[in-house]
Amino acid sequence: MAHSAIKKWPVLAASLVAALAVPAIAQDGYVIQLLNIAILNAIVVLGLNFVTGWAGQINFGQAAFYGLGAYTTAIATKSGMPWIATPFLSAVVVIAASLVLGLPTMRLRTYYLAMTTIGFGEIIRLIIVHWEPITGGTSGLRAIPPISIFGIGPQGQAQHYYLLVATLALAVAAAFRIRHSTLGRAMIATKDSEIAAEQSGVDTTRTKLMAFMIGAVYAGLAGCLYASSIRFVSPDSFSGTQAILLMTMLIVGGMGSIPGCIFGAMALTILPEALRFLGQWYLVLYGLGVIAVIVLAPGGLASLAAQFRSRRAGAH
Amino acid sequence: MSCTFSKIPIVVATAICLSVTFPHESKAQAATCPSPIPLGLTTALTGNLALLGTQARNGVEFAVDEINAAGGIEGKKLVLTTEDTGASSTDSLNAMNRILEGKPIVIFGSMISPHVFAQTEVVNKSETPFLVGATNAKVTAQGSKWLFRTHVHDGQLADLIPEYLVKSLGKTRPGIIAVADDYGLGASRGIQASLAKLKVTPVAVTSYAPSDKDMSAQLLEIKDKGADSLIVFGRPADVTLVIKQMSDLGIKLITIGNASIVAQTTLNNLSASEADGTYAIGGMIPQTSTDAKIIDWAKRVQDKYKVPADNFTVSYYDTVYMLKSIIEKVGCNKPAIRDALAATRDWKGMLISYQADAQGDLAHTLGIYRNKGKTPELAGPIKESGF
Amino acid sequence: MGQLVVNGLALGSIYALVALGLLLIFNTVQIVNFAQGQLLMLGAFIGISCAVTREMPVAAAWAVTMAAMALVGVVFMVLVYFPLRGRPAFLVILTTIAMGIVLENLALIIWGPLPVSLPSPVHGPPLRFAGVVVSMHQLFIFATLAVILFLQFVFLTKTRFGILMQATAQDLHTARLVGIPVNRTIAVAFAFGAVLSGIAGLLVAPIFLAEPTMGGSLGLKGFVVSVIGGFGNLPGAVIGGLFLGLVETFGARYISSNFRDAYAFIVMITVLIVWPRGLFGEKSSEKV
Repeated sequence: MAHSAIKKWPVLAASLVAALAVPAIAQDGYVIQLLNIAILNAIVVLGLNFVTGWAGQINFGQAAFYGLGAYTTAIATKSGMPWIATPFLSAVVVIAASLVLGLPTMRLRTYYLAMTTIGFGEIIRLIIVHWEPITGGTSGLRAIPPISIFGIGPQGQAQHYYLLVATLALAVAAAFRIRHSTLGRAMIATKDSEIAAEQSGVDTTRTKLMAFMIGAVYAGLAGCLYASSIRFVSPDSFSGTQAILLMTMLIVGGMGSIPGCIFGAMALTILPEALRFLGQWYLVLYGLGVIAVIVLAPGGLASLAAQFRSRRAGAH
Repeated sequence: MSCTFSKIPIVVATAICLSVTFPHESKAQAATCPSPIPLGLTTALTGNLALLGTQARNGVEFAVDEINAAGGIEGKKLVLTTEDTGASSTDSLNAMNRILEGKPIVIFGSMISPHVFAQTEVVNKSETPFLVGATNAKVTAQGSKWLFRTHVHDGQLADLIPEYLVKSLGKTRPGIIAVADDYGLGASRGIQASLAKLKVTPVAVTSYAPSDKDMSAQLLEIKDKGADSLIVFGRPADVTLVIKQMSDLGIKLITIGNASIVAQTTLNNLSASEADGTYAIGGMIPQTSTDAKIIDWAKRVQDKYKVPADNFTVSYYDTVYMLKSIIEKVGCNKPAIRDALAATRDWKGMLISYQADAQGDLAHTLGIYRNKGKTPELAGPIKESGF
Repeated sequence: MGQLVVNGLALGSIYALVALGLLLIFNTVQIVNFAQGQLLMLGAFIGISCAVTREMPVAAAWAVTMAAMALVGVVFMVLVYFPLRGRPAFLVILTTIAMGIVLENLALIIWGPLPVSLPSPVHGPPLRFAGVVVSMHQLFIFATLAVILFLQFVFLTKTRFGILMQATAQDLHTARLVGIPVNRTIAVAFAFGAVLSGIAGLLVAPIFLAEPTMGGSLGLKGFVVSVIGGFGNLPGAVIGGLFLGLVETFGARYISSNFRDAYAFIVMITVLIVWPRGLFGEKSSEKV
């Protein structure tokens, strides 16, 4: 385990340098704005990975946590709360929500859990849509105050980009640490076989709940940053369709793989923009593509990359 | 003095022409324009709002093609770049960023208000005139000096529908049913406020999700609470179901609503007896015109796009021609175009004339329609108070 | 109030039909088909292509649609079931969701987004009694559900093939070992499952109109019904469906029409918390 970690450092360093160089190369606002959204999605998908990739629990509620974080921040800052408090507030709100969702459902089996998380997401969306005085309803909330800590904050797309890259790096580091901790191993054991895990002394219910909460916190914090950088929120950005998209980002990138999460999020945020010329056909190809990945490469593109690497290693 | 010297630098020529008032002034103004003249359009071409969003594309594109076929604006063709916003506001922002890369002279925005809300700030920063059809009343209350709306909006409907219902139709116990999205809920709230001003309280206020198919519970509530009329606000697909189900349930109420009631797509799916007698107030549609040229226009639009033209198609078509006349007067300088838009006085479009108010709204004339069987009839135009 | 009952039951019958199609497939191969709603949509559009575009008599349109849907079901099986045999449940869920997206968008490209109507097979003035209106089509929906339930019961319990299907559903591996033509029973399950949803589509289009996105919400309600009734339990699905139709209609009328969709989920979540195996219990055993 330690070997593969050490081997990865050059790759990690190189990708970090490349990531930091992007704004210098791609000058324009559109590409950087798009990358910012992709990075936020990556953080959300990393959160989803705890629940689905490692603990093996299907979860279509991740978009709802993302939205809760975004709306909490938007409502709080528009009411005058200083920005510095909003990440904590968003985290508290999503933790509470994840407990509401998680506690009654931890013993549910796959199909029931899928339906329940879909239902949860839908109920949250309906509340946002109809609680118009607070959430702005379907019009959403605009002119959200930007990130500002003691009066200083990022100005312009490029500075937001650097901040988001830094946040993503932190998210990745935290995920890595958790993965190699007792909790992380418990998650994986739970996914492989709950009964066997219980036999080995793992409290699977608590593990699953922890995974849910951590996943929700990732999404909630990403939501906080979304609200403060895009500065506009509306319910359609956090709908059931988005929840499915997040799941497909995880699958396409590679469930259980940290770089897979980032790659999947990037790919499925950028592809729909790059392929806009396909019009309605894009969604047809997207669906077929997801099926192809699941059937042919269920470990996602990360597993393909690993296969490629081991084949090269084997060839030597 | 002719202003078409090709040897003199364009700037000097323009300066000379500007300083002299000549009938050839328009030629010189258009000379400040790049060739071709870049225009941008963002609207929903895919996703669940596409049925609505494509009408913006249809109207703008049809006008641009017509103008180009007739030689463009003083010899310079228009080039229209269209970006699909999809259904999500985040995607609409991406679409706007893409459009801005092409540095258009003017950007047409869609009639989908959440998208326009998401896009306004970045368009403000680019200092480009932003011509939209988005109908949420607050769109022009954002304080943006670049945003102009060339279609009637829900604020006007919210005032005029209750007024017509109470004063002209004499009904004082309406039930309200609206689609639960930005469009319907915003209008519903506005209608309730206007009814309150007329000292009328609705007997029931209901809504349905955009994907709902069964509205019988809402209709039965309205009937049970003793309504004498129904105000319906939705999109053609769901308004069709409301009217159909009302008829199936044997509920007979005077019905008035937005332009969806007279939309071709609605009437195609209703029987004559179901549609007969329903009222609509909204942006004016071409199908009821007595002018053969307009009917022909509507037919050509339908032939090209396979979807009937509606009030938005007309509005966006008019907007392009309005822009043409402005460019002919002031050239392609964006602040000048903006100022000319803000100064619009009685510009005659296909069905209505346009006039700018302080907030940037240019459309103040709506149509009152009544369905005779499956054919809408124009009962008359109705103007927003103060115009 | 009686009217609410009639309309609620009519709606619930549609939900029940979707659930029956879902469960037929689930019972046999343990797959929950999240594209069941899109199959309903396909049925509606095939019916419209026959009856409206090609102006076939409605009965013929129904026959052609059912045959076509059987074929669609088998193709669906080939594309989804065979490649994913043995894979974890939620990859299958994602695959069927993706299939639903493909079908919905293909339908948008082929038939466009405008809603279209389909004539009902039955005509005539509605029944009126005690202040309640029951349309001929609503009666037809009830009748169709009853007929299908009866036929399904007879088929599964009284015919040889039906009994083989039940055996396959109980234990696939043993069934294969014992020489039951397992693949054939699976194909029949998929075919019938698709036909059931196709029929639901033919029933829905005359009253709710057909448009390509109609499948999403109806499919979701079908799943909710399956959960409420208990997966694998056919009578449970029917009772659950009718129950949900009533809950939605009464909830929209007396509580709030804004949260209509939420009622389905709230009922489902409540049922799951109190009866984790569904109201009527499920047939399949826990897989380790």
